[in-house]
Amino acid sequence: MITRIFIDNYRCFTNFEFEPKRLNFLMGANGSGKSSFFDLTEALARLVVRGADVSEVFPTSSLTRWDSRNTQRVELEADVQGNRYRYVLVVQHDREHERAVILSEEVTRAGKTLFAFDSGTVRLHNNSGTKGAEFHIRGDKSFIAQIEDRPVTKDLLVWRGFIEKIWTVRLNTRSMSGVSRDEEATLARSGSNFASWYRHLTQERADRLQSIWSALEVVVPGFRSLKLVSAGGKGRVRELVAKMTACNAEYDIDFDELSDGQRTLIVLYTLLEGVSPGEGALLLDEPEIHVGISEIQPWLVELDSRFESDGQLFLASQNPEVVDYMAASDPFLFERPDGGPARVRPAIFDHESGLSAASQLARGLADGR
Amino acid sequence: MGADRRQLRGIVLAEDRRTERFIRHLLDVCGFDKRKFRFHTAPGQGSGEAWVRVQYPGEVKLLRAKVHQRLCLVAICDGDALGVEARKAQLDEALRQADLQTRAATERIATPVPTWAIENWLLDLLGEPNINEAKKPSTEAGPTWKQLFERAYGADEKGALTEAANRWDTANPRLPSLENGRVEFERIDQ
Repeated sequence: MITRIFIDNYRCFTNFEFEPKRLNFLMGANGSGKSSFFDLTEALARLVVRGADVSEVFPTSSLTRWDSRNTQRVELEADVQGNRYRYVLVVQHDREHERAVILSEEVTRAGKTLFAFDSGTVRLHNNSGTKGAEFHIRGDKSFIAQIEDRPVTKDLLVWRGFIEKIWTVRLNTRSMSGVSRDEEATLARSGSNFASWYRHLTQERADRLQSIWSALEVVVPGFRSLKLVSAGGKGRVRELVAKMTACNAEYDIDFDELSDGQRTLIVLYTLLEGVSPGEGALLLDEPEIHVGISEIQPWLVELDSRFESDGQLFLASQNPEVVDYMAASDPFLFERPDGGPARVRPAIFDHESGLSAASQLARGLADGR
Repeated sequence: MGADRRQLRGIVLAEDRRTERFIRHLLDVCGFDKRKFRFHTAPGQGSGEAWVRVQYPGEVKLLRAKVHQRLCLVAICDGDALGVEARKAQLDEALRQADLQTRAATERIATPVPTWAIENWLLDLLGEPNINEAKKPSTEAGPTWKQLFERAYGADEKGALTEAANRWDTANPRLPSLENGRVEFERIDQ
């Protein structure tokens, strides 16, 4: 579970510190930093797990506009498998050439260094913290993404595995495709690869498919199941098709032909079954877009049920229906006084006014002042 | 009975998320369709009891306006230091203040009052010994019931709530508020 995040000189974050709880509901005005927070978590996953170029995930345009410093700093602390991990990343920017390099990067576990990169030199440590190999690399990528699975790197890979389980999702139905060229183990932030992720689930979590279909039968009238069919003469290419019924007749319809709301519901309910809360974190940015108002709370109830015992959730939304339900979790208010640096603090609601949480938020009363 | 329960629609006013979750498990166990219930739980931290009390008259009024529909209301809030009867009297008073009649025995309105809090009910249902309705388990300096519950069941709270709901009808409650809560819960199904 993520216990602390510190962000400096990234977008609207200057010396920003956030100590999240387990089920976090993020509220705040437009431009208050909620989506930038999600961008940062996704950037870390791409850097540390997928080996993306640091200039790509921390572009120079991500430097705080009113700050003249050229370095960005991110600190992430988490309890993973009963141990306190700490990750510190410092990115150096060359504004003129719009390039970034990693100045330093460190992972510690219970205070002992597992990995350190500083000014071009990687120092590997074994699980107990004693120094191992030392060598030079360029700082354009995180070497953590390249660490091989060996007994001496076990604890470091636990950390990388944790970052891999941090999923950031902001669905964009227009970008979703019902065509899958291969299996993909992770749902893309926009949901664009849903067909490929679903294809992965059919192989890895086939036992959950019936649960997904049963839930969808209730929320999508006429829905029966999903299937992947050959696209015909194109090798491994498959098309995602929904089996539906109407007027006592069964018919198939391409995933792409379903409405925005139907596709969103299919992805959201699949997400409930396809994600194991475990020790990762799910970050959802306005998941309810396109979902009919009567279907929002039932899905949120299922989401809460999924995370009832374990896992960590961050959900951001301005939708009154979502606010009213999720404000009973741990609500946090993002704000940028006078348009300056983003801040976050627990939202406080009045219980005696008779106003709903959304009404209090709309009136600017959820600040406890 | 089972089919009827699946058709019942309702509102649940709860003072915190744990209480809401327990009611959700209870609805499942008792054969109600959870999707036909809407959950209005006190936002943020602080006294959720006030939230339930303030929301209660509006929901009662709505329920009475839709008398031809099969609707029910569960308003559940902790007894804290007041206890069951005094808390129920507060809810009655909230209705009077809103120019509404207090609830009739025939209305599908349940007002269970876990005392001291929902954790006392959960611990009792789960068979923990020495549970009572006092504020602290033993001495004044001891842990709260909430802390006691979280220490014992925090690692698998969902499992604990499910098990407690499963024992709703079978466990032999030692807490007067729990015994009263069972009677209250039956009101939504009449």
